[in-house]
Amino acid sequence: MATNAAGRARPPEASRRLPSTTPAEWHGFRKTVAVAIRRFLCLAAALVLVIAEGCDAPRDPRKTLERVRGHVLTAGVSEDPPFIVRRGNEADGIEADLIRGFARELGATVTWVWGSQEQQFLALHGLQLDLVAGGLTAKTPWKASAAITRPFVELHEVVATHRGIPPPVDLKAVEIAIEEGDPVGEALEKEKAHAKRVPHLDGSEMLAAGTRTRLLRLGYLPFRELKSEERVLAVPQGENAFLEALEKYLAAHHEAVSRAAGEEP
Amino acid sequence: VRLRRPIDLPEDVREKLHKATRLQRWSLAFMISCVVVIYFSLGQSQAMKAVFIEDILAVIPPAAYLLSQHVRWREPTQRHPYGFQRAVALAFLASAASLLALGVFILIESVTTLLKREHPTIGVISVFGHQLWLGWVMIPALLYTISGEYTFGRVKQPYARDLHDTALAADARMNRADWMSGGSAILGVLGIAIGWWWADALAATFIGVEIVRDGWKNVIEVLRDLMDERPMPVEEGERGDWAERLRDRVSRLDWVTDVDVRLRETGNIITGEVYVVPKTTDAIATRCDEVEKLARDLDWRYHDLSLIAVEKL
Repeated sequence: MATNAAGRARPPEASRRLPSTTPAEWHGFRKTVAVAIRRFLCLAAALVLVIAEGCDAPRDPRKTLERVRGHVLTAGVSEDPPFIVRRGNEADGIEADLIRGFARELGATVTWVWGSQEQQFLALHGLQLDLVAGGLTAKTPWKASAAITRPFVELHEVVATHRGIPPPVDLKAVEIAIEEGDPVGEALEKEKAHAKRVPHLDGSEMLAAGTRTRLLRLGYLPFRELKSEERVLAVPQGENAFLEALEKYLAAHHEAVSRAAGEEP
Repeated sequence: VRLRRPIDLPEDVREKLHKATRLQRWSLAFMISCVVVIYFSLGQSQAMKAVFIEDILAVIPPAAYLLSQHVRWREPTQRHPYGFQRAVALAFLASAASLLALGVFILIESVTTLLKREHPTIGVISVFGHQLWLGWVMIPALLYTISGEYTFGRVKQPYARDLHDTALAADARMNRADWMSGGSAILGVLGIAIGWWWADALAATFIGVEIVRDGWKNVIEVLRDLMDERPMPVEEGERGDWAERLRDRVSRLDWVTDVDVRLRETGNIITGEVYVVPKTTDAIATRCDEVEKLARDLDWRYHDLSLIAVEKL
């Protein structure tokens, strides 16, 4: 025992310099913990298997999956070319194909509902729609009232040149065409570029900005990335079986969608 | 000023103190691992969020314990003549107050979720290329934390008792609250799995109540400590009759007519005054040391007692 001049033990010294752990001393305790954790994990795995297989879980509190399967999937959509393009009452495009494919997997057909996104989200919350799509990003403020899927594709906003035109070294004061109302305009302003807003973007501009997918389709050559965003779909809150089915479908088709969008998977 | 004597711990208590310190290091490492595990299985579940917050808070007591170990045994100085034992109470107060505040926060959030009928959404994650519903990941994660918290809670209790350590006892209680919360969270996730959307918020409510209760108890206890409450047993199975034992022992001395004591605790030790009506004032200068020595033989927790001679009690 460490003692000082007065013959008293000194806990301060002792607590500062702890003797190194002898292997035998804590072996017993560590073993107890290890055994307990292993036992609990085995139990957990068994429990999960039994419930997942036996009870057909997760289930929907409001039975969306059951209702859609073999019948109709009602999707609220907004235009977002080339992902969702309106053809009369029908929808075309990469995202529309994805939704149609998911419905087909459930043996259902899709009814497309065109309208304002806020109304669509209200309808989704009240289960009047089964899905909302069209330019939704992972950061959507509707997160709070709807279930958001994992991203099915990551898009890049880029600046691109017309074929055969050399890209400028600096974007400063350069005139770049964007479609009227495209949020990418803000990123261009930050770069001090001059945004030329056109009512409808086509392949006739020298320089253009927008999603890589769209510009590639219009025949441009992207050379500069501005920002990226992740696209998602929205389904009713808490309908976990429906969400699980959709997310598994999206994961299986993630690569194909990315390739179709001209992005790296 | 005259400094309080350094604390003199018996060999077996010192040994226990080392072990408790090592136990708290393991406990700290384990609680940090729990926070990481829960973080990676966190979905939009209220109960999981509550467990996550609780696990983060559960890191504080072992960390505070280890931190206070560095301070509390310091020898008294001119500026702090009574020593640093109260460091424990301060660390304890901080964690108790934050526990209480967060319990209230969790309770409010889960009750509003219930009232607004918000349905918890749990999606899918990718585990080694397999697409798995996150709920199935939450359950093993929770079981991992529960098993460790249960074991640590049980192992800490005897140390808290033998060392008369309030902070350690509170930590053991917090471990108990933690594993019970983990259990309710599992029920909540299972509820979501079979389509009971309310099970999750209900579980979170129970967890909130548990945390509030725990926080409240701890706050009250540490405030009582700081208000010089009489020494109380910190854990079941500890004798709490320090005043009686000391009075009985001193009254048996041949120079004592009558005796009474006034005791309080600071940190692990018990200190205070012994009021004696002496038969004689002979050798009065050595009596104080005599009383201190016999008190220490009675129990190592008595430290720095003052002997006060009075005419009558």
